[in-house]
Amino acid sequence: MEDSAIVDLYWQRSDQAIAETDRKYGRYCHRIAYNICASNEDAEECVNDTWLRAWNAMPTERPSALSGFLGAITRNLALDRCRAKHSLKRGGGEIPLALDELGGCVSGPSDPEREIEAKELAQAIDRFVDSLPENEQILFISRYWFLAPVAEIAAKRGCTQGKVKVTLFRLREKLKLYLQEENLC
Amino acid sequence: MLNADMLLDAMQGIRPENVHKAEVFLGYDEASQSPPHVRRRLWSTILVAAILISLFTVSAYALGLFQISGHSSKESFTVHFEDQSIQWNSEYVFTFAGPEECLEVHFKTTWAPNDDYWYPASWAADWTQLVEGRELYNEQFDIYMPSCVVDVLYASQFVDGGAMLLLGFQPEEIHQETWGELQVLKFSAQATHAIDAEQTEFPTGNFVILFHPEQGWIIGVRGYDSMENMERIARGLIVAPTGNTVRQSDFENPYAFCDIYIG
Repeated sequence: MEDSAIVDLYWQRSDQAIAETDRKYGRYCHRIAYNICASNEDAEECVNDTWLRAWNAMPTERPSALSGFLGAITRNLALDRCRAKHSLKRGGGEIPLALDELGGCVSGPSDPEREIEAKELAQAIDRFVDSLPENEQILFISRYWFLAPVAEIAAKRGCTQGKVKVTLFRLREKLKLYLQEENLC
Repeated sequence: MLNADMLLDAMQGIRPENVHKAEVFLGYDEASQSPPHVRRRLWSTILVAAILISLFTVSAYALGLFQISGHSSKESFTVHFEDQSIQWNSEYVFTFAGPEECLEVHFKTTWAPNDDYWYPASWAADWTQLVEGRELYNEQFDIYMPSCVVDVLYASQFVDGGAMLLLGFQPEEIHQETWGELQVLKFSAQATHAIDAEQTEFPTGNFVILFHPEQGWIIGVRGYDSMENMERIARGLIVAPTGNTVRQSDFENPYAFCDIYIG
């Protein structure tokens, strides 16, 4: 079923909306949640919660790209669930590794009076990603948006994990410089 | 203060069209998960269905179903994957003749070595044409190995001049069995590509291939998990027709390397 038809079902408040969403995007959302939670049970709950959020959001929202809309909800829910269950550093999945990696891009606890607005930071990350060549964009997002394991990315690219790690390291260095130039860290 | 946790959250700011590109690359997008035009993981480049069919050539030919010939080959092939070209050596090449039409099927799994085996679990619980087990971690070489892939192939893809290649594995002794209507092959095969930088370690995979000679479908259960687990997974499969048929013309390119792309 086309995305627009599924969205119409939400707007009509039809129960079929969730069934169709689950059929089309269930695996996709599960994969995102599992990368973060490292637990099938948690991932499945995140997916169910995603459908509920989508139900509550439509109407009034009418997303043009349903996968992005649902994926973002799932990612947020999975991160929140992981935070609620553990401190992120102790949590499972790819989060501890990703956090360790991203930790090198920031200078640690900086001036506490200088809180960075999340929105401003999100916009800066978007500009940074947009400035990258497409292959680097894909690598960065695969790792830090989808939290895909390095081994999985390497398998998809048909290269070694070492090569992926080196490229990611260079990307993080670029990000660090970019954030410094933007006066964000 | 800015910390790694905030950065992780801020990734949500990345615009959807860029996220979508990575989604497609990872194979998470809906289209790439829709069988039978499945885009597979590169590491699963282990194709063995051809061997199965070759061994049953005589009986299939007698029934007027499939006629297949095979020969050893040491040819090299370049596979284009994403932005890279990868060289593979085939051990066998098989050519096909016979009916153009097969019965399309899907399956459910009913057994796995543990509760968290399939990835994702919901995938294996429903009717599907492809399911993957979670990777096995090889600590010695810091590499993830595919535990098990179960998928469906159709002989009709390869009739009328098509060819099926066995890439990257050298089979050992092949055991033939009959499970009801199915003809079954079980064998181990050593990879021809090493997993270590020194090029000394060649892992051995295990394979159970189910073949329905009248309907033309083939289900492969294969990976680096034990033969015992492969067989239990294979015996637990429930296979049912989807109601559709599969013809050669359903495949965009019947001559494609079928374990990299179908269709």
